[in-house]
Amino acid sequence: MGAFICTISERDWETARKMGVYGNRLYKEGTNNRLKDNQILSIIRDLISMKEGDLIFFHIRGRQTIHGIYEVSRPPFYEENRIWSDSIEIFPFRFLFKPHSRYGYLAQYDANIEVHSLYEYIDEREIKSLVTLENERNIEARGVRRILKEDAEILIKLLHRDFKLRKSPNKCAFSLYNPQNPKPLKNLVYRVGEIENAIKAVIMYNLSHDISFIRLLFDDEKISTPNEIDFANEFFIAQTTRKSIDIYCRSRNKHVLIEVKTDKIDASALRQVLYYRDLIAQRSWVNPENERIDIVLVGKRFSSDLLSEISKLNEISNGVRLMKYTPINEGTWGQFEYVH
Amino acid sequence: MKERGGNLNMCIKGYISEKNPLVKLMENPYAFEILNRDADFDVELIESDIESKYLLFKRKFDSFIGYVLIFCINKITGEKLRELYEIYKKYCGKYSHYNFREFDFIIITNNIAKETLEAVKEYNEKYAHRRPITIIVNKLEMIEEE
Repeated sequence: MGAFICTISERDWETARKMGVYGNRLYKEGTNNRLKDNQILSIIRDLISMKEGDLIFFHIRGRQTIHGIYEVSRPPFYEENRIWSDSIEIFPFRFLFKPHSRYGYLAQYDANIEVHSLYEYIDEREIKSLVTLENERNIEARGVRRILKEDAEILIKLLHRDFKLRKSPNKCAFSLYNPQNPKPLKNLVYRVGEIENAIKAVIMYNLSHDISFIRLLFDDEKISTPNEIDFANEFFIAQTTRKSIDIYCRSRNKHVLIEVKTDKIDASALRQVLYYRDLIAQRSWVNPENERIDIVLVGKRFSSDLLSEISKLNEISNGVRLMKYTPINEGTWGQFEYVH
Repeated sequence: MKERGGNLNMCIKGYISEKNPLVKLMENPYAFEILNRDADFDVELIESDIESKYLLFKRKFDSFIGYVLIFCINKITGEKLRELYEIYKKYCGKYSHYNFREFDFIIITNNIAKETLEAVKEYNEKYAHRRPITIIVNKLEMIEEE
């Protein structure tokens, strides 16, 4: 089970909630300019790991509230039927959701919390996979954010805490949407090998679907299902300077930091991720004495000296691996192998 | 970014001639000018392990500002370096919750293999936000017993 927070406007929330469908945009907000490939691929990257049964929370931008708890009833797909009233935007990157089977009473009364409730936990560093829900100059604008399961548990707790104060007076009606011609998002990845978000999308999908990839990544044959790990992308390690690791993953006793480059990995990428590992080690929720923190650098190529540099580093401390990816099927997917 | 320890000799910060530097440093932390009063301020010995040949100092300026872990080992091989690094990491976890910026890592040795020195150089270059590993070469073989 994964968990996600999806941002939506106040205008579109009622339709989305009632019909159980969320859509991410294809056009730049307020314009008729189609998003660039890199931005489209970032939307696919953020959605593609979603599976049926995953937890969903909604952040309503204008109200500054978070609503829940819902669960995914159909994994992400692309569909162009017009649902919302926007004259240009059709929000075609979609998934379906329904009130969570265990917490149905919350969604039936549109239970919500103030965003500030969440920020109090972020300030205390109890929420690990988010720094803000606002769009900031130095942070990529994202409609959908995957969060760690333990962060989702805090949201569940807060929704229950505030339920008696923050719910609609009447029971909500649902009239669930039935898509007409949906194309699974997995089939829409493109330009792997050219755009970083494309290979990141492949990795995100594999982390939630491909057990052999997960075992390879964690170097652990005992992992039997994807549910035994958790992960989040664009994971902030240094909040103040807004530095993030591309993908942070964890199992019961291991953390893996994945840094991805479209083409060549060099010494500066290694230096950066070693620093990120030191920062992670300082977090109160990490115990380096009993938990390993591994680094996996994913690239198409590696600078000529990198292999020997890592071998020398491993003389002192290990845990750095190089994973080569190769675009396949005309750049619509990728395959992976360790080279170190 | 400026490479740290760009050549092997840059990993070696100085030379001393002393049969028992551990005892000297216990008596006077500023001996051999490895530590100095102007930059390390007040230094206090907080732990020593004669058998494993290391001393742990606390640096203070009004309050605590960091730690210095000094090993005195005759011969440093790759295996020995890994062993020392594990001790360094353990103390870093214990005293500063893995903030490696707070921990100096100094090795006094009279024999370090070239490939081990290369590993130190690589470490100093790549762990750019940690304190570099500092090597002090002792021209004399050190006394093995206490």
